[in-house]
Amino acid sequence: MFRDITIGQYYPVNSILHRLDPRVKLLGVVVYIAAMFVINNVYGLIFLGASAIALVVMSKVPLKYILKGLRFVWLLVLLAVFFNLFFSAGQIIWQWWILKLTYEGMIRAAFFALRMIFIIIGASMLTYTTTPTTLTAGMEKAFSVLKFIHFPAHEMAMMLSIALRFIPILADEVNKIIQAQLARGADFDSGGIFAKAKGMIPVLIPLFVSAFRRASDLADAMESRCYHGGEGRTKMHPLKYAARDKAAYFVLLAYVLVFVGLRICLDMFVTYGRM
Amino acid sequence: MNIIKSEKISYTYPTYQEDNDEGKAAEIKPALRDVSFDVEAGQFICILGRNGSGKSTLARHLNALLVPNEGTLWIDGMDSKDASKLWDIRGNVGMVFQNPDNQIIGSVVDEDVAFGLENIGVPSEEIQRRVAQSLENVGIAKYAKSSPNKLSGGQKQRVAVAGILAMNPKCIVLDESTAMLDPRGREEVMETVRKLNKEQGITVITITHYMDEALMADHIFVMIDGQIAMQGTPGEVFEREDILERAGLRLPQICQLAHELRKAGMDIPKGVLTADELKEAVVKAVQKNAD
Repeated sequence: MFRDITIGQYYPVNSILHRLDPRVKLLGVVVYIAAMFVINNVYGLIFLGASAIALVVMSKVPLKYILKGLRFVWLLVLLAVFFNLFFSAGQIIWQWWILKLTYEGMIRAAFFALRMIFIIIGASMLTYTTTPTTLTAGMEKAFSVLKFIHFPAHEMAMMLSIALRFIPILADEVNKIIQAQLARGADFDSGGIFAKAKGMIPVLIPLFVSAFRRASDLADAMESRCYHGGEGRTKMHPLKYAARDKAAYFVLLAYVLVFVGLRICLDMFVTYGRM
Repeated sequence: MNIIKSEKISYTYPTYQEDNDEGKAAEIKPALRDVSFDVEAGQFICILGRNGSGKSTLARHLNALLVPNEGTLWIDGMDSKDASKLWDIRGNVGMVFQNPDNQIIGSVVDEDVAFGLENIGVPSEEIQRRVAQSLENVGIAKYAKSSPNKLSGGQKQRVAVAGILAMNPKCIVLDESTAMLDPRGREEVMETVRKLNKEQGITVITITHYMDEALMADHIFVMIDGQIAMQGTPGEVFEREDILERAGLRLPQICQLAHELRKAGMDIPKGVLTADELKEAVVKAVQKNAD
């Protein structure tokens, strides 16, 4: 059931985005999402949409693949659109029961939907173009600037990479447990939502027991191989900034200036317009 | 030179059990009792025993995952209780565990092999060189960039062996590492470690209850209830069916056949271990009868 999810899956092609340092890409995502919340007008939205399209083109990930990944997000977007469309205050165009279609609602719904889709496309570019290992290495480096508040960057990255390593193994295990319980006469398909949720208990308990057992084995294996935390550790492939990464940082800075500029200018314009 | 020297080590697992109804602590059986043995560098050792005989507990002592409650264990001249030598000991004695999935840490094969080297702070170029070399040595170089999940059980165990090999160990301990593999995977792994033993002189200690694996050892220890009940060459050990039976072990098929033939009155010499040896012995015995 998790097989078709393409969102967040690394897509192996060789593009400029794939070659960028993960730290640059992490900062890029933060900037992009921040821009989404700062921008509040049509020009800004067009600007963000254009940058999302530019990212997709640069990444060489096929558009079809990205849209397939969005499949699971449509429901969320539709829900948000629905609420914005019919529950916004403003000039009423059409009304039925408690549903009020307003002019303002239509604008807000469109705005909201586009904003959400752009955020998801922009953020998923990070995982489409970065392998989980490079991503965790990037996070370890990026978060180690927080060392002065004792932020456990290495531990977090290690946990994340172990979690990523064990997801397919535990997914297999879930299937095995479900089959084993079915063979013992378990019933997962009938009853209401509560009965079904309760039916998952015989799957979850063995899963947890096995996960703890695996964790204990893994801890032994790690200790046997001299693991003793991040102190004094080296890397097989340490992250190194190339010229293109420095250039990308400048692009990001320019980007920040543009969208802040857009917001300030248009705010002024709108204020004058109202006067 | 002795790479491992054990002087009367005993170990009891700590228990967190409440006192039982009579107010007495439940009787706790030690997992190891007064175990003494020596392993020479470069030997191929096999430790045999049934479940609960203490063989895995012993294995865990060999790289100081556990330290003895009593007695002393010397590993390459270092006392396993000496905390300052802990990482030296673990770098010198590598462990391959039973479950192939639960001992692979990296999401890519070469990263997993690099894990130990990264831990002991080896420079990056050196890591890359040693990882490539040890992947080559265990014969999985072409999977260097694959996900471990795509490999067979035998290949995963060889990845684990490669990860240890990269650290230039003096000794590799296989703690029932073939128990979860199919016959082909078992053969792959045993073939790999046998090669390392012969070509690089790495001491190998395998813990198993597959008797056929014991046949390739230079020296066998048989464990019963936390003690070493018998030790010797395969030829010596497999003559003592009485002790093996007490240990809950069965003879390898060839030895069993030789034993039965001897019982039936055929003149088979002691110490027959392989099919060829047995064939020769049978032919000789039959010819002698005919004469």
